[in-house]
Amino acid sequence: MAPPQHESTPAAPHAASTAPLDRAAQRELHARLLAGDTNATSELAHTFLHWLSERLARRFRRADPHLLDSIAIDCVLRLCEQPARYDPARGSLDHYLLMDAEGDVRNALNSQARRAARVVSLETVELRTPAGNIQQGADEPEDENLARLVAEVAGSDPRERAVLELMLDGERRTRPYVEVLGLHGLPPDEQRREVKRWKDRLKKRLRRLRRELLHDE
Amino acid sequence: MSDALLRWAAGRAARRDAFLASVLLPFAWAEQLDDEALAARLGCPVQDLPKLLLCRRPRTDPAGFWEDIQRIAAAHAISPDRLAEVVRLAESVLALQRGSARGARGWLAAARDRPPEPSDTDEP
Repeated sequence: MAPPQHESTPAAPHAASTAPLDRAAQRELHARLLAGDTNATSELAHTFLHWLSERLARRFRRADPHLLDSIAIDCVLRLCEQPARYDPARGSLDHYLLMDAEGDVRNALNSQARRAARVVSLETVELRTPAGNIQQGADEPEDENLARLVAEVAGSDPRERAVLELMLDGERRTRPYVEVLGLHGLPPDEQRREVKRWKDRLKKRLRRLRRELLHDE
Repeated sequence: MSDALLRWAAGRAARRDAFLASVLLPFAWAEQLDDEALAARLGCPVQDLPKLLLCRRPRTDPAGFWEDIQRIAAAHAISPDRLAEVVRLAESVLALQRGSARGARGWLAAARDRPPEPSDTDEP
């Protein structure tokens, strides 16, 4: 069984000089967020997003950088929408963002590790052969094998499941993926890029699953 | 600063009502405007677009709308009139797309240049 992909390094002592803003500036920015200042959300993202992404990459060195960036974005946007979630009396803004993001990363990586652990129990599901056909398991009908494959690779995320099912059906058009991912609000080129990101992530898991299964034979 | 990361954040913000991106990006997609075309409409450099899109969506009351538009415009060195025009148009297009012609008139009325006086009537 492959070890979990993430490696959590001990938390380095937090120094104010490493944060993008000093405490006073952070408090001022947070106050502006609370007041509904139209530019404060943009400034928060511009100031903290890259820093948060780098901190997560340093702390979770073997995690998928795409996953880490996605979580960093979610945490920053969430704080923009709900600034009252952060209490300045409990610590600095950068520390809050980092803790929030790290929690999401650990949850995501733990889910991946649980899925990888279940792969060992798959004995009758085979992946696509180079000829492009899914072989039936010895004792189970094809539909059940496919359902198990989807469950192991995509987990509980309904969007990942939907994307993987489209991929397994051989769907090559972008539109169906846009539909299941809810990307209607994006321009076409951004839609294609986002769809590619989702598909690449799942392809990576499929290749890993295939290596694990072949290794166990 | 990684432009790609900020651009991705702006794209994700398109699905969240709190952000200006939730108005301007669906509009750009409906009008088939890429980033450069949208930036040209707004009168801002294309590299400034992600930061602009991540601003908070302007309030809907006339006085609040103009105050927010002016703040955003000042911070990004763009014309407030131009920004207001594009945002109004975007809101109207989106409201019509949602099948609410009454909603589109409401947005246009809310974004007038001055607060309504008692003698004013809604646009037809």
